[in-house]
Amino acid sequence: MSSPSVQNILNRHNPLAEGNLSRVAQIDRSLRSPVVFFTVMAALWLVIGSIFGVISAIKLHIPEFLNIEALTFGRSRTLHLNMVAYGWSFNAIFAVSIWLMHRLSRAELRNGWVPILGGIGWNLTLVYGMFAIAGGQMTGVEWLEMPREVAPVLGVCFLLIGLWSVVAFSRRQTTHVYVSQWYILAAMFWLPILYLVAQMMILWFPARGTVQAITNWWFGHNAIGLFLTPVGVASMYYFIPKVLGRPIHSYYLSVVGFWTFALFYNWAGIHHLLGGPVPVWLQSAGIVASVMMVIPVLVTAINFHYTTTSSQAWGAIWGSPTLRFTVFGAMNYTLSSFAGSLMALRDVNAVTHFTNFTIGHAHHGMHAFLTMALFGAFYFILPRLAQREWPSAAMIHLHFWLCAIGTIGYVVVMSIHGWMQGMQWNAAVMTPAQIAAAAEPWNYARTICGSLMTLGHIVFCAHVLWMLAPRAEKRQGPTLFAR
Amino acid sequence: MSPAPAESFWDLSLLGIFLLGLVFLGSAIWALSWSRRSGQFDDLERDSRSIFDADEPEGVVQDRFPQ
Ligand code: HEM
Repeated sequence: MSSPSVQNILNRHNPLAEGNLSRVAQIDRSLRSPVVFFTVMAALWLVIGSIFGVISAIKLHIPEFLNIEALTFGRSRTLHLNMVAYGWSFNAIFAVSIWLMHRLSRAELRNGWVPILGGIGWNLTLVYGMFAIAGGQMTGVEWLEMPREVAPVLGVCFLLIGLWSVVAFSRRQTTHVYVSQWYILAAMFWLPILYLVAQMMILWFPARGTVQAITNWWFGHNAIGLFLTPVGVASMYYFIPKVLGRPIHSYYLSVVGFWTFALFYNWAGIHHLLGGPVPVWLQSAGIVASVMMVIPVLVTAINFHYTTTSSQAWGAIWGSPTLRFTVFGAMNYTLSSFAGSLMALRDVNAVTHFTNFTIGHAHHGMHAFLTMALFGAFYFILPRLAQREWPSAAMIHLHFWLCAIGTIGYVVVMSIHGWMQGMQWNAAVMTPAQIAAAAEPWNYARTICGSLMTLGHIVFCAHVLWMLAPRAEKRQGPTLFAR
Repeated sequence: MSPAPAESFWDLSLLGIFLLGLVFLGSAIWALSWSRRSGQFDDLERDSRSIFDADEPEGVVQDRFPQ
């Protein structure tokens, strides 16, 4: 979708176009085109990417399912990862970070066509990359599977988009830099360096031996930890106090949390290679950092816990789509991160590595935390941009329950089965064929949970498109009552 | 390719990465000292309220389900 059509859709029936705007509404209006563009792109990738996830899951118990070359397991799983990572999470994070940065800087967006141009380039390049993967032209480096020629284009597009958060910051009308701004600025600064070093050392001038693998997981871990996670945390730090109408429990702790996060996260990537042919001191350093991550995570957990509980506002949390999703995400940020710190211990990792346990954890972080927190952000942002209420409360409920049951079910199924797999492999009593056969019921359960999440995503995407559709009935509702 | 040029390339890039690491560390130290100098830590109680304003004030719940 190109920007002018988004603009047209949104300008029609817009009472605020006629003037008398509050300051906040002016800022929101300036943000409309780019944020809506990235949101729609994100929602579309989410649906397509999830469908590839389900296809991959089905292949584990029905191997002959969709038996064509472009959809072999190796390709469909890779397509799933790249679509939900670079298509959904990156686009969603572009939307949320642009909006948050301008809101918090009290600055209107100027030259919104620049990030949109970057976004069009980003998404077209992704489409090219996905076709390359489906055609078998992938690199075999996890998280960097798209052919290497996409890298310079994606890099430039990222700069066009990410720079706008920095520009907003430099034009801020406020003296204080809120903790969410710290997280977003840091993420926008870290990612380009990570991407540049990883591309150079792995794909363009490959380092030799295990250095490649070490670089690969330094990048993969930090793309999550130093880009996706900080923006997710930034979003929770904004929306939880904002929607409740009360400040964060201990702002001091949130500052401690940010700096310890920045200090420890980037050392931890090597925990993906525990037990591998990597210097032991390096593994130990990664384990120490992974355990130290307990500090920022605990700090964040304490803060969110007391902000939500001391207000005794369960009705407000449950009654707000934004908070229902965001608080769900916040709880799972804590849980998945603590689980991650445990998985980084050598004895635990000797069981869980190479099993479904890791995949359970990956979805715990990427879906139950990050994706749910981003959904929460969209439930707040979109009505304010479109100047329309969400068309259907029932669809929000449906979205929540499908995703919540699906994602928790998925994590539980994969964790239990992953642990069993690890024990079975380590004990070496069963044959590999017996172990694979024992996985059958768990694989079915995984398909069911994945399908629930996918249905939830379809509901969300349809709801977003319905809300933005030119003919949608304009409704004023409780989300907009502040105006 | 003979091993010699590759070796020297990697010596050089190791240096580059080391320098990049220093830039990283330096930027973090700079950011931390900037926030102290610019008074970011002076009154955290007040600053925690910087997300509220006249349009979306403190004490008012800002989001509900549509009817
Ligand atoms: C303190 C925080 C965390 C720690 C210490 C941690 C630790 C780990 C460890 C040890 C593994 C590797 C397991 C193995 O291969 O044996 C892992 C994998 C993974 N983690 Fe985390 N984790 C943390 C938080 C998160 C969060 C918040 C997310 C998502 C937003 C996340 C996403 C992932 C993903 C996607 C993988 C799978 C990578 C792959 O092999 O493809 N983690 N984590």
